[in-house]
Amino acid sequence: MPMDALENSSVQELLILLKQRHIEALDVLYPMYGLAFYRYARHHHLTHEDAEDVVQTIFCRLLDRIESYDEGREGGERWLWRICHNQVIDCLRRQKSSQLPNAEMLVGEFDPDAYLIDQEQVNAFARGWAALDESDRTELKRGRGRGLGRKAWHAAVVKLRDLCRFEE
Amino acid sequence: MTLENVHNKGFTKRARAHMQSMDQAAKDLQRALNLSPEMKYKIVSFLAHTEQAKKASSEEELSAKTPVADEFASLHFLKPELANERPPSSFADLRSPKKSSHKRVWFRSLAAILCVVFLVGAFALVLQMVHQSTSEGSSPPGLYTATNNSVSRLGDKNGHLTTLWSYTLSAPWTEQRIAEYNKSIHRSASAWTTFIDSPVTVSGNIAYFGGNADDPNTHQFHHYLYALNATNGILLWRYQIDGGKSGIPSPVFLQNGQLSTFSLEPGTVTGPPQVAQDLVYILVASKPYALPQYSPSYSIVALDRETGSVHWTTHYFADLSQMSVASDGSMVYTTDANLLMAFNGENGQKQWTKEVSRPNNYSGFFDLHLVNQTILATLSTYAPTDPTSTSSVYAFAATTGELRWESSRINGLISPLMIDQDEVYFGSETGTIAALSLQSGSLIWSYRTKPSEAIVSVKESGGVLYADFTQSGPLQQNLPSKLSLLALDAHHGTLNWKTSLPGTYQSSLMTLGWNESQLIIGNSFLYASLSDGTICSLSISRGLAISCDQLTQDHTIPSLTLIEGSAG
Repeated sequence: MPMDALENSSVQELLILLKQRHIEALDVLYPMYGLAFYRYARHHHLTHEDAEDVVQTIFCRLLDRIESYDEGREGGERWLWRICHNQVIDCLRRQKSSQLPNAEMLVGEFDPDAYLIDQEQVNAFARGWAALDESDRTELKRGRGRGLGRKAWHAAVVKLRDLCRFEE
Repeated sequence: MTLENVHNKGFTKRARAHMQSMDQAAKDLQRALNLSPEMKYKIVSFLAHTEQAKKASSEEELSAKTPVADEFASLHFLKPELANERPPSSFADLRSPKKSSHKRVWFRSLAAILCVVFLVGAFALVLQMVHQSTSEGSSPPGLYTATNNSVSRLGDKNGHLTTLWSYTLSAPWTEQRIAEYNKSIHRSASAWTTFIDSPVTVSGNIAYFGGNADDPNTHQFHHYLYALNATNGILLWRYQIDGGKSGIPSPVFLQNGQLSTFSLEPGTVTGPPQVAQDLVYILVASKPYALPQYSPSYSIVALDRETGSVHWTTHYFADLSQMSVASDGSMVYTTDANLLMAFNGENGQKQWTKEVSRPNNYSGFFDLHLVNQTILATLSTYAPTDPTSTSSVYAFAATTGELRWESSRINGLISPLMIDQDEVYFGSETGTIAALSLQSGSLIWSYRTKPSEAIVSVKESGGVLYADFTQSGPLQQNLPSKLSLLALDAHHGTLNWKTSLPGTYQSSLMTLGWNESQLIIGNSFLYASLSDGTICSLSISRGLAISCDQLTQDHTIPSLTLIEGSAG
């Protein structure tokens, strides 16, 4: 299925596509909700590691349940957020009540400076990514690999870093 | 496992692997480039599809030029319409997925309006319920009658009565039940049935009355205060008067092996229950006054009007007693022979006692009223065979018991007092109807019927005084008689009209036929209860009988309580 068509689909349509085993729908859903779910978990005082795990678990649960997804009743986004909320609550319950989050774990209020830095990073990454060769992108998509990592991946990363020109 | 399940499992596995590889690749990049943890999820979008990421990057550039102070603005750069969305901060947010800012505002406005409507409605409902449960004005209209063993609410349509509901204490006894009872008490008794003890008092949406009921297992009678839902007649609660909480002795007593039915049984609610504020007050005869070896005593019991739980109880000795409660519940007044007593309405503590002289030892207060901080009481000779019996009306200050005035002596017993703004009306068994000044007790006017015509009760409405009377006085017990009705000008005592009621009237001192609940005025009608269990509705202008309905065959005089208004 063309990516343009996927990107113009609603969440409900994406979930239906996923239910029909169009794995490409996940390429839209995961980027679309990964960060939102991560922030939601962090907002509930989960650590970065726990929040990452929760996001993974949310999508695993989504895939487990996608067969029983009832588009007529469940809605789209609401269904996703319910899974997210349940997973966050489960994670919180698993934690010992005495284990209070320390200050570093907590997500503070909106920080304009951090936001701008984030935006700069995104913009820089986007510039670098756009300038990167397709072969390097493919290498980066494949991932670093086990152990010391693949040489091709390292080479692509160096290129990307140069292209991004991240400010120190 | 079906083939379909196998396929599903395979797809899930592939999808997981795809997602995890995408996540891992983004994580590798985020670490390698030393970016913030959140960047991982942004990198994922670039890894997932290059073309869209290009578009996103250009949008990011634009947004970077005009930064919006919204940390979530960059969350959904793949779908601009989601850019304003935030993750829910609570589970409640999940119930209303946010589609757009416009829709969100619309939904919030609608929700706010619904909330306001709901709150206003709930508030009005609570107000209405409180009003219904506490105010006299919200009592369900109708004519409430108490006969031998049942209480009914009657609706009135142009003078014709229809039964809206009826509550019966218990069915009449069967022959077997009578035989069992006789065996248990080792004597022969006639059919014993349950009785209503008192007239009905309706306050708010509750109808209160006293009555007894027998326990089939123990063959014991118990007296109760009943509280019914006045709208539908369903029992809300009943308080067992004898034994238990109040400490009043067993209700059935034997006098020389005979069951005494003449005297008031212990536990009998005497007079109508009276409601003030949150309490309902009852006067209970706690020991048989006909038993010489016991000092007859009474109890005042104050109960929560909604639940029937006892607030306080107090006992005092008296031969024959009446009770009147201040409308604010601050004081409770009772009588004992020639004594007037005042109790604190909140705790039952006796406040003061006032004694008046009496012509003989058989005299006592018969009637007690509280009007505008003035207590009015009738002192009569209650020896039924005394031909020289007289009556007097007394007025006391409600706060101190100070005697304000005493009327001149009136021959014979007198009916319960009827009090309006400035006058006190009553009728005597010797055929006199009189009006006294409420301020001074002086006689304003008097009207004489035939000496053989005993006035049973008087009622005033709209400047007209109505009186029902018999041709044979209460002293001539058990003689059938006609009941008549007359109407006088309440200010001058001149006769307007006179008429006879259908049926017969059998007066009886034993049942205290001097019952102020026998003549009721309201809804532009007169209602009179007769001794054969009949209630007649009459036109108020001429006393013409419109309808007569026999409620019971038990030859008891129904007591009447009227809540004005249309009740079908």
